[in-house]
Amino acid sequence: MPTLDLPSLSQLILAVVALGGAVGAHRLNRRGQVTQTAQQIAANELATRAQGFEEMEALVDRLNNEISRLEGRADREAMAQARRCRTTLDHFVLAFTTLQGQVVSEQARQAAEAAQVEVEQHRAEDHPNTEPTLGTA
Amino acid sequence: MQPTILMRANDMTTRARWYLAIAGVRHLLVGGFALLIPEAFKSTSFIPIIAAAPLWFWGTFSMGSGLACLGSAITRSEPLARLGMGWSAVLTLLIGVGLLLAVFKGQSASPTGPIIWLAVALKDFVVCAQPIRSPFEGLTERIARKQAT
Repeated sequence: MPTLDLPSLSQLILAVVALGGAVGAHRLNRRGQVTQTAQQIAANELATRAQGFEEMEALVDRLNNEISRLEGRADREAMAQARRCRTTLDHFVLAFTTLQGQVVSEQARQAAEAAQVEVEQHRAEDHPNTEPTLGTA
Repeated sequence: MQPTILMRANDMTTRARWYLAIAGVRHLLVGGFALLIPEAFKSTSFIPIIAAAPLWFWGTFSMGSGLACLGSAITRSEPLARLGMGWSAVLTLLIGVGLLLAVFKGQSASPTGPIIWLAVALKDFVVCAQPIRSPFEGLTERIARKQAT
């Protein structure tokens, strides 16, 4: 039975290890690239949602200012209108806060969108002369 | 409206750049010693490694890996980083297995050599499987800078 000398044995073992290592490193590198791409997609989705939050914050600020202006009037009708505004806005802020707490929840997103529609309807009915709201208006 | 991009796609994480730089220096030093001062490798632990291929081959192989790792840390090139990390992992694994062979043949001065080299090889493989760029890195740095000021 032929026997392998030390150089041949070392060469054989290290050649097998080199081949296995190269294949392993290549596969692991590809796995790393896949994870990296998934992170980039997730980050872009988060950025899109964050942008939506900024738009909603701007909308809440606008409505708050409008309500403060109406509340400042002595007119009784304007005061009643301001109270209705405040109630609608409170609903919206509640849905918005829930959405911020549950970013991944589709249900929360739908609730926030429904609240935003409610705000838009309210604005169209009670404040037809005001400027359109930001973003989705 | 276009979505906000958190980070430029070619930004490499600080952690990855440091790891690549350290791996690069490690291979350049080992390769440099193998090519310039080959007589420094007189331990019997290296017999299986040198029996498999001459020292100049290992030195050149190591220098190539070192240049790829260090170059990618400087240029932030992901393809070069992935090449360098794979190269580094294979080379480190080969040295670790070579030192392990010396242990089984009773030629090793100490068993710590293969333990450390194989552990570093595994570490290189683990880094290969990780993202080298992170879309959150730039955002984190911006927030950290904001908090510091």
